[in-house]
Amino acid sequence: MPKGFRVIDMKPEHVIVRFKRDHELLCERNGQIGYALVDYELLERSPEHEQAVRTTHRQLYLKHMARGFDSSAVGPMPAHLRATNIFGVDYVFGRAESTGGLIWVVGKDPTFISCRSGGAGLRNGACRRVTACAITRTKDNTNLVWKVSPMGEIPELGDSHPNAAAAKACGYNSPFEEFAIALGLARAGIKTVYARAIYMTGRKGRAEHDLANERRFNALANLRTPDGEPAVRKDYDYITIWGFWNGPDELLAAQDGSYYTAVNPRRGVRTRHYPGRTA
Amino acid sequence: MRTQLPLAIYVPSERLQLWETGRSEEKIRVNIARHPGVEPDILRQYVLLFGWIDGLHAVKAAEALGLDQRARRVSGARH
Repeated sequence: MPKGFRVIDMKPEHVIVRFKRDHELLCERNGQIGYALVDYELLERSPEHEQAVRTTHRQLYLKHMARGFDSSAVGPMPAHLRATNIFGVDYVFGRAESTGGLIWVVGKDPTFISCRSGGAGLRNGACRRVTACAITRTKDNTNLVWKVSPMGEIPELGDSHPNAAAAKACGYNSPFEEFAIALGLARAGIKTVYARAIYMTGRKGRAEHDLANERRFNALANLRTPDGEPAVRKDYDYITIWGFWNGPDELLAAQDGSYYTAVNPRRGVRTRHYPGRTA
Repeated sequence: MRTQLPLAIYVPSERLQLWETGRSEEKIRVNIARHPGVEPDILRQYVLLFGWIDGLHAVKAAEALGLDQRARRVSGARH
């Protein structure tokens, strides 16, 4: 069996050999009996091969993430993808063929749009409207955090909260605004989680009259996809996809496995992660 | 590795009942999770068309060579 494959139901009936005119079995030049394999229903990649492929893809992912905005380092844009810019953020725009959804991948590198659309395992109907984050791991062993955008909903702040009125009037930011803010903060020197992609579901998620706050949609009605369609639509769900932050992209691209560990301030003080401080 | 040449996948329009397919919804879900870009229809038949390979399968070949069960096992172990 070739390296990287295994057959769960290996049967002699699946091996085809051929006889020569002298009734001897046809052999390869190296003397081994020549044969062909039929029936691949239970043929699969070996776990070792799967792991090697996942590791290679993950390294490629990290390498491209580290240089995602460097236009000199990326290849040409395929015909089915388009470069676009929304609120000062560069995206590669495309359609997720399997779901009919739209995806905007942060950066200028078209290489990984498939990784973050198909590989992320985001599917129609797979998400419900929650504001909590969810972690998913792609086939390529890449950790991602995704969140259904609450755009159009009223922020749940008690009336006693000093900013309740302002927050309710403003409404939740759109995914494109969220990403612009995150990247703006990063440029200003404030560490933020990596904004990876925005995905619009391919199936309608709600009726327009379900919206509690249309203000944001109306304000962004002029945003368009490179195909001329509205980028922000009231009847579809939007999912923001973020990196699972366990270290700078540049560091992991050079040496995968050197993960940072998340520690909140209270635990950090308690366990003396902060130099010079005592609990 | 020589293999059959894959030619086409034919999916008849008829949809079967789940009990007729004998498929497991759980296994289909696992398959979809492993390959998110392809979502098979659990109620349809999938007919795979391959090119034909001339020759005999190993059991028939062993019979043609007059190998008994023990000799087949020894021969198989050598290869």
